[in-house]
Amino acid sequence: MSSQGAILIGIGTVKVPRDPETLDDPKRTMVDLARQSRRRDIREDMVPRLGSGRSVGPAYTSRMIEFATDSGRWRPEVAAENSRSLGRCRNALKRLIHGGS
Amino acid sequence: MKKTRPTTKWFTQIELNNWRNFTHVEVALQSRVFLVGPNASGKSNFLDVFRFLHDIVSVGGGFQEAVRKRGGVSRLRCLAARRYPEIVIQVAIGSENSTATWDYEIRFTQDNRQRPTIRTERVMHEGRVVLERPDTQDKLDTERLTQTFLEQVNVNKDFREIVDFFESIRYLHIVPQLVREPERSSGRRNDSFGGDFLEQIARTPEKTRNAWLRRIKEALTVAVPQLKELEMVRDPRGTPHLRGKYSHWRPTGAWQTEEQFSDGTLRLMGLLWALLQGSGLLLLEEPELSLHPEVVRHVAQMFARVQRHSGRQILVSTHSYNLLQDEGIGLDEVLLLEPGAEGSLVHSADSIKDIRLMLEGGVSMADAVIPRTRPEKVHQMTFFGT
Repeated sequence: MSSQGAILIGIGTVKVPRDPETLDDPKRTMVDLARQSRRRDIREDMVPRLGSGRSVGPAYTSRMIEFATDSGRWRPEVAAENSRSLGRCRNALKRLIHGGS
Repeated sequence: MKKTRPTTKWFTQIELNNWRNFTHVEVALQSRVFLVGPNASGKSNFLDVFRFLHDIVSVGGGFQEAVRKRGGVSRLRCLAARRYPEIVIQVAIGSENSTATWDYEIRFTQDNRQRPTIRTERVMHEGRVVLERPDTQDKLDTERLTQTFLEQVNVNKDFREIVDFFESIRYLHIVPQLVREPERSSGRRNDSFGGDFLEQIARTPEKTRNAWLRRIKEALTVAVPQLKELEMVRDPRGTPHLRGKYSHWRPTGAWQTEEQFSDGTLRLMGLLWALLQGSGLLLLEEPELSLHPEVVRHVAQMFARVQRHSGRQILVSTHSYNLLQDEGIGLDEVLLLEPGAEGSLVHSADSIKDIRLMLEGGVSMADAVIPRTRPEKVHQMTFFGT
């Protein structure tokens, strides 16, 4: 996640881990970050209710889709600078599109 | 500007005795509830309790009419009922900040002329008794026990809040054929099956209507990308119609009315309209019908986001694997209906240890729950006709 992501979920950019590849459970980290959000709507959508027995909130997926698909929010080229696996994925997709081997 | 959310009430708990196919039910309700169970396990009967409460307080309704409409006390009473002939409905109503603000309880049976008669009617507000019947007057004149105090404006002033709350309950089970041919439902207002869906749209103030149709169109284009515009028009006889503009090979596209809309488009429109309209409890019967599985997969999250704005409670009956695959559905939001010789039982999924363990192990809610609702000998269906 980038600074854009931090703004989206209403937390400070310093709280966002710099190296997502090292996280044991990225989804849990994401939920924990949302828990600290200043925005109530983000907390209610992304963080599971007490007693729900689930690891994510009722509209977690919807919020992630919104972040990834709204133009200008998620910038994969920037995200790839911090995530080697995303970089590799982008390269593979580029090769596929351009018909290279 | 900071938006303040309305403090909407919802049912936090329900207890039933001898209601239709339930001998006894006692279960907590969250603001979003999914009812799952085999065919004929009583999902609709469970939803019907809330419709019954609505019918008691609705215009042209009342307790007698609500029971009559359902075929009388003997039809309502659970077949498994033996020793305790009373039908009991007890609900707790709370809000975001409090789980039990109001309690309403009604116990009824029939007299020797097969007339529905109330044995007990009780209202509590924050633990304090507001109404307790039969009172001394009821004992002097038993005729009074044929009506609830809930339905009488001259005596319900102290608990009008719950009267309004029951009145705001809506049930929806759109039958596309009824939307297309409204004359089949002969002018019923608030027809749950969509008979007056177009009329409802027409009755909505123009500004609100246009804003809602615009939002519905935007949501619909995700499922139906060819749809470019959506509006309400009246034909020369004044009958309202929905029409949508679809893009195709002609550069201008083509207009179609509800008569040509697909079943899925009509049901989705009805669902989205119902979500926007009103703020009371919304009862939805199998919202997945006629919809593409990929659309259904996102329905639960859509409910969650609608609820965050309106705060309204949504009770949904479903058989859909795709709907239940959503990882944001809480264990306490799923109610399982299990038929048995003594009537159906209702369990919250969080009370079933196996389901909890399966979810912790990474299994989806659908995989943990749907197999439990499958008929035991379902494979024998294939033998039909041989």
